[in-house]
Amino acid sequence: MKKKLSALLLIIALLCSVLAGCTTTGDQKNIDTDVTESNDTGEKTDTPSGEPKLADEQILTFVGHNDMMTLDVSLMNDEMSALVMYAVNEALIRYSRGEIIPGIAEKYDVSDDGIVYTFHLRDANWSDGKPVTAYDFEYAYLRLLSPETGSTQIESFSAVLNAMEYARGEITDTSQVGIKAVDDKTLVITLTKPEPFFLEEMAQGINFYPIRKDYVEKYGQNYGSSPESFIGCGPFVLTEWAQGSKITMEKNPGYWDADSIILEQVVEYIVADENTRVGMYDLGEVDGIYSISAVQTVKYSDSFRTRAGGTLQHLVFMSREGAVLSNKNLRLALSYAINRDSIVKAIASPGTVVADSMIDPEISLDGESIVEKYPASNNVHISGDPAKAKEYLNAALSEMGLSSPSELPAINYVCLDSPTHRAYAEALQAQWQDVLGVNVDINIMPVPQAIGSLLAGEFDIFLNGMSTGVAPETLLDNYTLHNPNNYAKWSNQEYTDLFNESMNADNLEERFTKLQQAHQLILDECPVSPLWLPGTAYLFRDYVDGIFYGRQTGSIEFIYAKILEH
Amino acid sequence: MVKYIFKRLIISIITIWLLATISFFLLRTLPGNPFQTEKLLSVEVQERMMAYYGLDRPLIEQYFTYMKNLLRGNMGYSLKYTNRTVNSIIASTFPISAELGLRSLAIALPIGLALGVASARKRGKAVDYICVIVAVIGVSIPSFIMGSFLQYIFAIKLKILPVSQWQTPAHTVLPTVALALSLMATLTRVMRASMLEVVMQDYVKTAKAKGLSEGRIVWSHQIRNALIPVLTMLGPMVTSVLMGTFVIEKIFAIPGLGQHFVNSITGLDYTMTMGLTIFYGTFLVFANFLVDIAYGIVDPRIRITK
Amino acid sequence: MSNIPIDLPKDAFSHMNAGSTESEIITRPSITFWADARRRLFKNKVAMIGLSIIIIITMLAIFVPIFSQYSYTKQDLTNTNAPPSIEHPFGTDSHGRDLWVRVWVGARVSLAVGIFGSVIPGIIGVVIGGISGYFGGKVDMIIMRFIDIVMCVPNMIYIILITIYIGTGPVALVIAFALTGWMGTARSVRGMILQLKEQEFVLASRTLGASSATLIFQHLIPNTLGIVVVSMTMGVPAAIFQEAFLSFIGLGIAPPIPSWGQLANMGISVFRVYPSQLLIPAVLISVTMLSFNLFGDGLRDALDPKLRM
Repeated sequence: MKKKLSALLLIIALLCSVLAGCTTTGDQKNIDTDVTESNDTGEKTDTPSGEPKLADEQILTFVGHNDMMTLDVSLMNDEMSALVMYAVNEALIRYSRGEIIPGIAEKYDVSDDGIVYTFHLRDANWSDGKPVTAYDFEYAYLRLLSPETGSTQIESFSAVLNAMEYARGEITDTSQVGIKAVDDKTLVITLTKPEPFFLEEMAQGINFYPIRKDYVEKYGQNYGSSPESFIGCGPFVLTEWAQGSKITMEKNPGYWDADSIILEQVVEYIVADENTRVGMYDLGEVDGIYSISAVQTVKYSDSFRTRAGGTLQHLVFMSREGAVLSNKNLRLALSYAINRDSIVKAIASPGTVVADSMIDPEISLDGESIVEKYPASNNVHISGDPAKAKEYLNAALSEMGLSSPSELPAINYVCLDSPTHRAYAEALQAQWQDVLGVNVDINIMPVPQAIGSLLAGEFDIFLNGMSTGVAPETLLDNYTLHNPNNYAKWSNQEYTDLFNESMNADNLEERFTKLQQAHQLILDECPVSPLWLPGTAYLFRDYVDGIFYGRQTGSIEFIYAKILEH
Repeated sequence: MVKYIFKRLIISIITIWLLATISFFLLRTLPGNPFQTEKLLSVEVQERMMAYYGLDRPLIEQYFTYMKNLLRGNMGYSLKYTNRTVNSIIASTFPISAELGLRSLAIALPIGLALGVASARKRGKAVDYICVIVAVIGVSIPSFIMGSFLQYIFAIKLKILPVSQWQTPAHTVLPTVALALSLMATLTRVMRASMLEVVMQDYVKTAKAKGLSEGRIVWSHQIRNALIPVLTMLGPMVTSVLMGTFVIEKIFAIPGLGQHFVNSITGLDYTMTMGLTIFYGTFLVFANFLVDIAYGIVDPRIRITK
Repeated sequence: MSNIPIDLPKDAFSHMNAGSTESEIITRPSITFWADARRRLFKNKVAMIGLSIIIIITMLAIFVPIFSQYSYTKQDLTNTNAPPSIEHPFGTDSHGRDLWVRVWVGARVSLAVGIFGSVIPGIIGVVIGGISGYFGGKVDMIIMRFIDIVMCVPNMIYIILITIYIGTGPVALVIAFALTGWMGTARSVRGMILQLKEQEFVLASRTLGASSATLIFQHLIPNTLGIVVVSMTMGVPAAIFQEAFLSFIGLGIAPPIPSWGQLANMGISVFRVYPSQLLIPAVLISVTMLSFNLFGDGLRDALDPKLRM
């Protein structure tokens, strides 16, 4: 019996040592996770030593985490589809390396009143050789708006004359919509009123590509579900889409600017598990990883690159009459107690930048950041202000007739089920407990239920991440009176008036000044509290040159990339 | 027998209809809607989408529409992969999951059962302990850890097998083994327990007393009877294995059906969830039906024609 | 062995007093079924080692969090992912929390969820399976078809429903497991009962006028205990893993309360950089499961009257 026992123990011991052995080897360094500072946040600089030599084989392979949902331009709403569509199709104008460049439109004119945009198309062909015409764009845009299509993206066209009316079914005559192909080579878009950000919207939006009518008619609802049922006019052609596993694109020799395209082939593998993705990179099976988490960057502290922006994560405090957080001082106490900087450094993905306003600082007009030009006097403290937080808490408690924070009613923090949201929730919960002694209950829910709670107002605190769009009003727009998207159920007449005055302003100066005042008011009243602009880390081998990391979170631009000799 | 099978067929159809009905209404009692995604759509757009897909109609009307389409074998379009039908998604992913499952079962069934028999026959001996330990370790390590370890050791450190994807036979080795280990462990334990029950039964003693050969006793008196509890669990086991496993498919990047089971429910993709439930249910009902028939073959004491 | 005749004198033997009542006396003290089971269990060293490990882990789970200087929620964002040291024997996690305390608090949660999440559905399954198998016919038909249907509805639907209405805590999880986990046991118990009820001892008992309840609970179910105990011990890791899986997709226990499954899930995402964060929960889970399984085997041997060696 003893012998058997010792044999058993030996086996267990062996097993443990195998497990231990296989994970402690390797080249990890337990360096500080403070990685955000050591990285640039832009384009990889070109090799300094003259013209680098190109490799013989121009094939770029990388690995992403999700499959794309669809190639139907009108229905597209996810970053992976957008990533592929950027390469296999082309819109009138293109957003590349942080600026607007010509696409299928050779040039465009804007009328003096800023309302009529006329696009002049170049001679470009679809990948089957047929010419791209203005009618393909007109068809695509009207198809997206049509109530028959079921697109979630109608709001991209909200500046266009009668576009929303047509989308809502209020008008059915498409000739009243401000989208018109005059001839094969001319497309005219008419806006409701001047909107200086419309071109940015067209360039950065993911739904402004042309569609071939004959393909839609041939494939019906299956249009865009496979390489056969899709056609594009971009620098690459989609040749393989093994759903859930692999996407292959080959250079399109008929592309109008084919000379600028060096890559012959791009292969994307789809791998959901991060350890697997990193393993493929380590073994050299891929040249890059689409995005990696903070902890993995520890191993590649020299080679990863990051990009932030495009999304603003902020807290929404339920401010409706009767809710716990209807007390303004309590909201301010919670906001002041947060040490945003420490959370970003310890937990957030690399490249994340602390935010102190509800306007993305990257939103700019004529090269000037709008929030920098029209700042709100800041009361969001990057590292928190525990003393002031306690002051606000005491004020709140005395207003509520309570003597200690433990007497506060339960505060319900509804959290999305993603690992990052969960990590943020735990960090915030601990800081509120430490600084204020306020207990917050975290309630984790799957995405639809969590968002459902947000819309129904069944929460006290919600960490909301929203695209900041191209115009400074994007996030502030929601918090006007009676707006169905006023997630905080915050009602403030003064704010609503200021915001509407801004939107109806005659000139840009007035528009942004009024917006500045509204922005100041919402930060003072604190129904929402900005946290940070989440970043993304990418990992590509040094020999991959010319990859650009776009503004919108999670889009890499590889069309002009090249593989250097290695 | 024919009458019995016919009767069971009718019952199976009713079962599947009840299943579809129950899951249809259960699914709709979940709060939220499929258009409430992390990318926040405005309330107006959400309402537009609900109307577009007819989800704003009375529930009972939606139910009859769904059932009418289901009768024609049409399970509708996925609400997430907007231009792919549920039928086509199942048709393209099920063969992959089923292949992985069959490969694993082909390894796990014979080895697991053999280990169970060997272990029971040599109860208390070294063989028994080794088998039990193999089995216990198989069920004691979560599959996400086991899968990751196998991948780390054999693909990343030793570089003898591919890390992921589902292409050549070499690609199938690691996921198959990872899945087979836990199946094998479960089978070994159940078979051992069941064999031990049978070894002491009177009919075994009788057989011994009659002077039957040891081999004959083990085969036709012990194993045959010990298989009954194993058979009971085979229906659900085979079904769930063939339908794909979320964890193994995720770790080894296999484009199978398993991921859809989780993602469709957490994303509230109604049509996809319904399609998968009905597909799974039909398969399971059929598998259990086969098991019940197999009972009668293995154990003559159970008379299925009563 | 040898054929050599032994020459014994006849007078070496004397007659016993035949008919003495002494021969009827049972010299071995009479012991109950449970005392016998306990005795045999205690003699089984492997099972005892398993039991000792379970007791040690339970003790650590109870006492470590009480006596530690750190709280399992206390975070230190300046000391994250620290390797094991004297101050933090298991290191710290991504939020700079002491893993030694978190592991043992997690042990409380996982053990509770594992044991109750396995035993409660097990008991429900045995009762329903017993009734179904014993009565057969229509009752069996209805119960089995009901199980067929309920088993086909993905567990996730029930679990999401329950967590939304009851909340995300250990109790909600156990209820969810109880509602979704009994069917497998019920099916296999029913299979065994079908087989057992044709056997002679049942017939004998029935002939003696035993009621259905007596037959089910005294004769049939005890005879299935062996397999049920095995399936319950397998159910403990299954419940613990299911909790981990649910935490992974966001339906587990709400933070900041840790569980082993969660810790292992966190660990797997960092294991190539900070291996100890995976190894510790993984080894603990595996050792605990090993102990439960060894103990379960011992228990089964002790409980099954047919298996006396």
